[in-house]
Amino acid sequence: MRKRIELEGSCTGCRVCASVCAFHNAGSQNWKHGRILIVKEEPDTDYPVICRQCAEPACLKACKFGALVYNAAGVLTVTDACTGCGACVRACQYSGIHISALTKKAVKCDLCNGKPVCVEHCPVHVLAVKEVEE
Amino acid sequence: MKGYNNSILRVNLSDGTVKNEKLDDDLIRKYIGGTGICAKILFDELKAGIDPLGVENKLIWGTGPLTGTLWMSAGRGVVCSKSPATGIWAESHYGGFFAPELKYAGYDFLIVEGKSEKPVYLQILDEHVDILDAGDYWGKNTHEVEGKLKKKVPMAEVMVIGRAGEKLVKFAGIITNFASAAGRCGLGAVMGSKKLKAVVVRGTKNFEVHDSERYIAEIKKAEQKLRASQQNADLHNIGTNILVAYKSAIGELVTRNHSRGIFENADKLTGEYLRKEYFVKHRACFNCRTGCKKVYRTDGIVAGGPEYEGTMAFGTNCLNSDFHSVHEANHLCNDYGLDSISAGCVIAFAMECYEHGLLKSDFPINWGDGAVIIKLVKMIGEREGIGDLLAEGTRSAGAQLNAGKFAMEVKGLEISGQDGRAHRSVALTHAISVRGADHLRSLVTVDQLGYKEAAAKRFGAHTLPDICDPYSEKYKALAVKVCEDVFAVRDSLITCWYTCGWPPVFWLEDFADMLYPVTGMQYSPSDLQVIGERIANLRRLFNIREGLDAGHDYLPERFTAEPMPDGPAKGQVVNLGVMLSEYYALRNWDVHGLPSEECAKKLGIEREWKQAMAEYHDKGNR
Amino acid sequence: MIRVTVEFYGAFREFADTMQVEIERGATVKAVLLKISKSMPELYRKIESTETRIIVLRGKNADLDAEVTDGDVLKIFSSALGG
Repeated sequence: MRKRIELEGSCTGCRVCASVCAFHNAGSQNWKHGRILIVKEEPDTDYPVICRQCAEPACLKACKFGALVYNAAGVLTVTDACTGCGACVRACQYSGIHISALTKKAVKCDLCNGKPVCVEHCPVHVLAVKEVEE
Repeated sequence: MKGYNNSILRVNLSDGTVKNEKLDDDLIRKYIGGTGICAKILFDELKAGIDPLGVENKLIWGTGPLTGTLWMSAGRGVVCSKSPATGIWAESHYGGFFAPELKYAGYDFLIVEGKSEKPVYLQILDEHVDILDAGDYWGKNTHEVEGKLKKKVPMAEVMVIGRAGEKLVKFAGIITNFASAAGRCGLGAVMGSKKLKAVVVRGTKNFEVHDSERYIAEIKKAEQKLRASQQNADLHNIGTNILVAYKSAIGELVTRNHSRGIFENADKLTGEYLRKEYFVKHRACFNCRTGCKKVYRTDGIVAGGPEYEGTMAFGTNCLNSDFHSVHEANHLCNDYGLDSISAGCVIAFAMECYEHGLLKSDFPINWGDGAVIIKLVKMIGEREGIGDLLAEGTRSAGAQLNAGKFAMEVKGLEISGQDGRAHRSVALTHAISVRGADHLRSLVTVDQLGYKEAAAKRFGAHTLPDICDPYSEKYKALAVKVCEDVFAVRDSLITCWYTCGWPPVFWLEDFADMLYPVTGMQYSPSDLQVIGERIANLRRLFNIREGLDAGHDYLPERFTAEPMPDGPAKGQVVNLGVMLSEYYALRNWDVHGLPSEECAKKLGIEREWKQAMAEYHDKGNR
Repeated sequence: MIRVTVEFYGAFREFADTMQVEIERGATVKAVLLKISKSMPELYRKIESTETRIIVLRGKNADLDAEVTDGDVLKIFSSALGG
């Protein structure tokens, strides 16, 4: 069963998810160093953009360096082999993977080894781990 | 020092120079950040008597050690300067996402000095700082400009003035994130006088914290405290308009230019009613676990706000029960870049003046007329017709119209949504607050709400039951003094008023617990209170240097001599004198409201004291 | 018997907007709440367990032992905000 983080309810645009992600996964105070991007549009649109853990990932197909591999939990993750070339970023139509300004390499959600911190800390409890059949 | 960038960005608009200066550890230890450090910098760098709209004034954007961290409300920042409305200390806090971005760009403070000849905007992309031509944006209002700048610079945050700031309206503010504002004290006019249209910032850097493990443990502890709070849940559900029903119940709902405490149609403006009829969604500032912002839909407008103050300013205070016009007026203020409190209160003043034949107008300005409120907001923003007079604020307009008794202001700042006749401590707060009639610097809440445990904890068990009697002057000076010190710390860290002032979840112990893992500075709660006291006194010295003293710690006669006409607080007036004397004594100030030398010595601000006193006495004062 | 009106605010609004209560002369606020518990036990439980609740009677914060009089409007808030 593939799992991914999904928004179930109304996002307030607070960015706590992005901030805890950056701290947990990159040790950074800057939410941009995490794996979550936030879309905010006037007057009333807010939502987090998180890797959709596709069944047939375009990023995996695009990577020429073998830097995207499935971990023990079956989640696609970025390894040190990443050169930051950006091919995966250009291939993904969901903006689910991007180049971190901190490491200059690609970053994507890997569900935090089973207990996603974004889900844990969302103040309005609208993030959830969903199993997907695709 | 960890938790900081240890950097001050200084931009001079006269000669175009950009400098990156070191933020001293000593300054941090003594003043923490935010309002504290801004007060020290402005005290040192501004001379007394300068024109706030002149080339010598400076604007400082300030952050604190908690800004940009995982702390509960780490999104707020402050802008400080000398106010063109009051001629004294100006500080205005704002929400949204701008302040963390300044920290991610690598700066703790941004100082803007000088003046540009042509309209410009400042662009800060990490270490790439440019003063750019704002010709395409000058003349346009904030929503259009922020939209365009965000398109131009993805993932950036923006602070921008509208036409009101360009036209130097005395209560023009600086808008960010379309519906947040550094609204009060006319800082938008200061920006306008410098021909600075906007500041755009994007930061891709990180800053370190001292002890990561302890840091995340404290964050989780704080999160849990908030989750357990019913008050926090209510504030999320309903927003700040939750105030309307309670204030209505106890007779402190500011009505009819601060003349009454009850409004017959308040039920059309309660938070509960707005939630039911107009609510679209909740929104939050950066990393906020409360999410008090509300987006409402009325007649074709979907927009954030108003907060309680806006509902008071354009609603109850103008005898207007039509939320559609309140919503539109507030939205217009955001677009024009106007302080909603001052704008609404100036309009209420205009209504009362018109009623008494003191204001001539070629259209009626009647109480309760929502269309006229909207019309006047635009006229003020454009300085058109009587808008030009009203744009000067109630103190000035009151003098010009011989209507001073209707000018509800202290030190030139319009009074916000509180009435001291029904809540004694806020009367003192309005009278002594350092930027003028302001509630935020020392608002005591637990006395009004009757939260006895919190009151006992904060002010001492001996203060009960009098401290929770809203009509008693007893112990209010103590409560105001304590809150003023604690909130000076709050405004230096910088953390949001909500969850601190109200609900009473966090206080000095929590700040001390958080400050250590972020910065490594080991301050006890009482250490922090002393720092707060130092900041409160230094800001006071800034004002004293401009010639301020006890004579300026006043209240309009409406509060001290006009008994509340109806409602639960009927018959009440404020006895300011007794609270004022007690407040001065507690602060170790003399009867003229001047800090004693002993007070200054104890707080380590003797040098500043000497300078301020010399200047004050030079002006021919006592 | 006397009649009082009870208005609910904040989180209590989810249960009811307002309610009329008939009660013996001399009754206290506590007695009114107990009367409410008969017809709306869930609301009563919520009120009981909300430590931050504020009850306003005749324009003042009231304790549970305050006496209600005929025609009173009791306003019950799950919490209140200062500002």
